[in-house]
Amino acid sequence: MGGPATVLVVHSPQDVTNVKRLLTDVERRLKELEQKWSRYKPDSLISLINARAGSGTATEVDAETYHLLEVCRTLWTESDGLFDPTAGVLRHVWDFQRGTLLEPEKLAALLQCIGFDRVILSNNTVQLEIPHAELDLGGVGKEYAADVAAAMLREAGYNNGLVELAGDIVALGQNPKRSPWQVGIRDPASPERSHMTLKIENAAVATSGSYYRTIHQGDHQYSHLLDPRTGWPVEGPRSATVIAENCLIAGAVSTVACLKQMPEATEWLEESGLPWLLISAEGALSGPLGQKSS
Amino acid sequence: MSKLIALRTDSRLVKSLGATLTALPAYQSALADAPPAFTEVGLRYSHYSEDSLPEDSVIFRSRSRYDIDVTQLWIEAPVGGAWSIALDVQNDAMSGASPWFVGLGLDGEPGVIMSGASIQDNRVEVGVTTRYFWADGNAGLAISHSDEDDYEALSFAFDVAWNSADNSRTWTASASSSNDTVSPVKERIPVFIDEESLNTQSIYFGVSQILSQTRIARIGLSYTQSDGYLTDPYKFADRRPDTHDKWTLSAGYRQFMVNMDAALQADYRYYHDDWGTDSHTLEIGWHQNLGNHILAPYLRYYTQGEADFFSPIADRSQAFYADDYRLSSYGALTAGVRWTVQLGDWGIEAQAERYRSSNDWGLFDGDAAPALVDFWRATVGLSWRFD
Repeated sequence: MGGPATVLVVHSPQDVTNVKRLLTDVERRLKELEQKWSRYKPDSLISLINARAGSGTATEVDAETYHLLEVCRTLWTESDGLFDPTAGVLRHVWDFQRGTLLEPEKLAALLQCIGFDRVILSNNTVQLEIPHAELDLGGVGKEYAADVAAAMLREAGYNNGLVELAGDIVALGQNPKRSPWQVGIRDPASPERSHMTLKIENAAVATSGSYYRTIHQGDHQYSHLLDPRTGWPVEGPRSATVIAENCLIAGAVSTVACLKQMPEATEWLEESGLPWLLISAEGALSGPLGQKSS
Repeated sequence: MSKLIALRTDSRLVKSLGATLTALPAYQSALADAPPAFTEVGLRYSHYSEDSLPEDSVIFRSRSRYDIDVTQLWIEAPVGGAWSIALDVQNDAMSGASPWFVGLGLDGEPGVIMSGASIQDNRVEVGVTTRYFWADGNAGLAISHSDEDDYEALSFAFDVAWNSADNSRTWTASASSSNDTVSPVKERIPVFIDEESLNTQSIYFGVSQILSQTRIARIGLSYTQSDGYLTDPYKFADRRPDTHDKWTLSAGYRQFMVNMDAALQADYRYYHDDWGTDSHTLEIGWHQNLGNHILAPYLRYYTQGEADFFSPIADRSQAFYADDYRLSSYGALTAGVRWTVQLGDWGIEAQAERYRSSNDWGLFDGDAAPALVDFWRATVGLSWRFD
């Protein structure tokens, strides 16, 4: 899923065997999700859908994948098209893993492939209408996986634990010291340091930021968050942190916030009614979490 | 310094996103049955006031009818990780007069002879419900006792709800039994019994189904059987069978309108009994979210056909007879609005409704009863939840 995964379970000493079995099941389930939804695996379900783009062939998918795509449609609608899982095709121009800007002259053609309204969801099948279009569940897949892991812990009867997938966190109950879980929010200016610490119980925290992955082109540093309407990186907030009852909502709201300019990002976060922290490009803090609360 | 920030889930955006998540497996365990997360205490007051009878409908005595003040106190609390307990106390303070019988007026039309001087009566009902929750459902056992000057009732009820594996369907069943004692007060008008009893048993089966991320529907069937003294002792011309079988079929539909942050509510009920009465009830409501307020106007239409032994002026030559307007053919409209607001741990509610009835508004044929009732009802309530 593109980063380290940590699952902590608070349990009694005699539960060790059960917990080990549970963690094995969680790992297996997360790998199953990665296998289904990774665009980097040529034999994944997403890769199969992408390979059939423009062919008129619909791909039958499992109910979980279908419903996750329906969630994506809601996000696409609510964000006025800013959150668009078909924007992954822009990786052919922007390669953030290598930190390079590839062929910008191809950008205009790639923009023709973007648009979630051209994804047909019908009776548990998915079809991409436009040739060379691609689905990328990077904006929801990891967050959903964190929620899946948390749900597995609860269903097994463990109501205290922590799930962290590459920075997205679900906190169940309390830590072994019977206190809220403490989660650090990185300082974008110095990502190796924590800007602040949150204490959370039975909630999820997600942070989207423009400092995680960047491209350096001459003196300019580009964010990894791309505006699907222009194909260019967004020059909005440096990071947005949101707390919600599950990671998918927290991640979705924080991701969309970072795809907007500052004033619109603030409006979006206020509309959500969730606790949030916004850090501007200049390093200014705003939001309920930024008011010296923890 | 730490500041506690509670998570709100009532913004339009979060509700829109949340609605789409319900179909995903990871969020369905969150929908599993569980005891309430908080202890809640509530107080509610209602005032019910019947309109005075039209002058040309009354032959003798006062036109004024009933006023009832209802005060309710309830407490519901979680017990351990799988139980809850609730206590309900209700006090009804009733005053006023009711129709005693219907006779023929000087104009040759049926008119009401009222029961005389205003009665004052007080009813207290106390109920305790305990409920057990497990992952796929819950079950409850309730006991209640009601006492007033001329009526005492002891009731038991059991209900169970079971959710399907994907939480999209809920099956519900319940059974109840009530043992009542009627001992009418003899001060006001002549009554012809000292003490009688009646028993009522009822069962219900229902199912609700999530149709989509924003729609839910339900259907239910109930059967109620009463036996014993079913006549109204305060009616001069009233003699009813000593058994009464009743069936109801009910259905409901709810749809959440994401863009409007509101929900449409529709409910229908069909009733049939072995006294010859059929009725239909249709209610349409709209629940509009306005921040942390909810405003819910509603409209209800009711129509019933008359009981086999009803006539505007009771025919006492028959084995069974009644002139009680509640057994006549009529239609009724209710218009009301309910407002609630959640301010942190405090909840405030208010409701007002107006009920009008008329023989002309009914869908069933039948003679008009001169004592059909119209009323106003207003309710205010306050609740507080805490850990």
